[in-house]
Amino acid sequence: MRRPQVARSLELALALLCVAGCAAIDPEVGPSQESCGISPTPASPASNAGYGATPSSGYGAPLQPSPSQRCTPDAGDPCDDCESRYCCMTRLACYTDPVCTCADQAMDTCLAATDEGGAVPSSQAARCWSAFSAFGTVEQARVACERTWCAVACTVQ
Amino acid sequence: MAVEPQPDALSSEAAADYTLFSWRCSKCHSISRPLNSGIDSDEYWRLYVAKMRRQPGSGISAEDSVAILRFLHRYSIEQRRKKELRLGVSPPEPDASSPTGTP
Amino acid sequence: MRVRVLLWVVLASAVAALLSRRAANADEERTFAGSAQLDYHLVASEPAAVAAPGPGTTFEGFTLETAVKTAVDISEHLSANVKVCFGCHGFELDMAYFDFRVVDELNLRFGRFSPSFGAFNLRHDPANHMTSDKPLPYDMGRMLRKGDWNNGVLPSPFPTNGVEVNGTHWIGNVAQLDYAAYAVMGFKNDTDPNPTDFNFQESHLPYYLTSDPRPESGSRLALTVKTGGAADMTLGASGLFGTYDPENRLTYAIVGGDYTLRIQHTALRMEYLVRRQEFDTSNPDIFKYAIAPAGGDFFAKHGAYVEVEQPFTEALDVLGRIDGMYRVGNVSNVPVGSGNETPELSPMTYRSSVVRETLALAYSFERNFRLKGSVELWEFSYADADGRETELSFHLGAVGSF
Repeated sequence: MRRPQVARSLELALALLCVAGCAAIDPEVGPSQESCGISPTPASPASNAGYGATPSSGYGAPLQPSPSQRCTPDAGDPCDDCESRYCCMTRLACYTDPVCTCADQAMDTCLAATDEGGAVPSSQAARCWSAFSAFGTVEQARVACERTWCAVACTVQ
Repeated sequence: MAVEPQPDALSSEAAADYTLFSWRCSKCHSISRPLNSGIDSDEYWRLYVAKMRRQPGSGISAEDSVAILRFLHRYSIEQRRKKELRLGVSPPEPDASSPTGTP
Repeated sequence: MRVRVLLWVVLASAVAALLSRRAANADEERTFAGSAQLDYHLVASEPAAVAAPGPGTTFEGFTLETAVKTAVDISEHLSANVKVCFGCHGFELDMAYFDFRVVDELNLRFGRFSPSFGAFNLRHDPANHMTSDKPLPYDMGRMLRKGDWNNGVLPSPFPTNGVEVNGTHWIGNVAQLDYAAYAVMGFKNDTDPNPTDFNFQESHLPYYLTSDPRPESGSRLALTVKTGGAADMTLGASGLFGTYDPENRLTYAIVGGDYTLRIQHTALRMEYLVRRQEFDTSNPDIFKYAIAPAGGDFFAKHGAYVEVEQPFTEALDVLGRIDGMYRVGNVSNVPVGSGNETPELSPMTYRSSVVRETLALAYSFERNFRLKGSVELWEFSYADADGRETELSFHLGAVGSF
């Protein structure tokens, strides 16, 4: 019958509109910065580059990495061992950057939610690594070094 | 406590006009706004009701405005009479003709 | 400062010119009206009544809102309206505009006015609604924890400078179609180094200029249908769009829908608004949450209310209202307008809500004098510094109009 088809089309159009509309007004947030050890800092004056600059390029007060985050061989985890040995600078740069610290925690959470906990290559795990890299240059440098030197140990994707 | 004209004291037609006036003219503001405006000219009421009709969502149709203007005409006569009594001027004979108001 | 003084002198001269008698224009008609409301707000938990922005800011005590308006009908096609009000911000020019009506379906408005949006703003004068405060989506400063929320979705009134084309068309005696489109100076935040939200004080008070020259644009469409001799209903939709930062990069959009049903003197009103607003992410450390790489540069603030107004006697009106707001998105730890002061961790979360239930009474002693009283129960989704998520507040006020 014609009328039910029209009604179904209208319902589908309305549903698609709602989905598109909700996506447009449903923002995302990262992990709480307080839980990453970042205390509120005063607003900085507007830079000459204007607004919307890529985050994670060294803002904020540097953090002190915890003992497990420093470059110590034999840390117990194959990935940590490899990264401490071959990618110490990028590892320290990430753990002393507030945004990268949070992004790292977010990636750990993301990988833990995948089927194999990130231990085997999968599309889910690849998305976690992709999201981590998208945070900025510090994250990208860390991923690049791990991919070069610790691809197997860290299951980099 | 009486705050508005009492419909019971009016003729049935006048009561109906007042009732419609009170429904339509209290949607966006209190009824005291038009009653206390001090307007007592039929011509100005015609212009003002037309202006209110144009307000978004007024719901005042051209048909409604005839009855509303009829009430406001009677109300204006009463206000002028009271004003003249206060000033000690003899009030003229009441004009019972309908106001100009085109549907 | 000199520019501000000059602006007030020019405005005062314009008002005086409108009010002065001109024998040559004997056909002009003018009306003069005004209102004043004194309200006392009491919050049971006695939060700090702080004027400066900051977490948990709430106003308690007396507030005064007063306004005077003059309307001049120069001819059947040309009219002028000027309204000056005094409230929490001091003096404000609420209206100063000309209407040039070609026909009912085409009217050109230019000057300073609140553009057409939603249904409530037409009744924003305290003499025109039964409660001392406004529905939460339209709240300007009276809500609890206003410092956390930065007021409502679209604080009312929202006068601004610009031009509007509007009109109304009657379809027989049964339906009325209203429409409007406008370009006005929008909201702004010219002072914060990293703008994250509107600065409403800056947007409404003189200096009536902005660093952002691009106008805000919007429109409204509404249909009113008379369903019987004593009943009518209105369904409307509104939207506006603009940028609020000096560099025209941070956008905002507000859309809304409204419905009103009126049967004799009983009114059912409901509205929904949502504001989607981008913020500056160049200093991620001022935010409570890390900036998400996708979809992390804006927030959405939803607001809605439903109210029923019912007269019980000729002098007594009762109003019941449920309203609320829901905010989703990252939260800045630096309140709007606080500049470089040391920020505090915001108590809000990335999904925060407030729901308020109001019961109000309005009693008319005289035709144009009314007492208003209300009790409000607030339910927040997050606790304040004292661990409270629920608040109780009371309003008692008097409003007169002339």
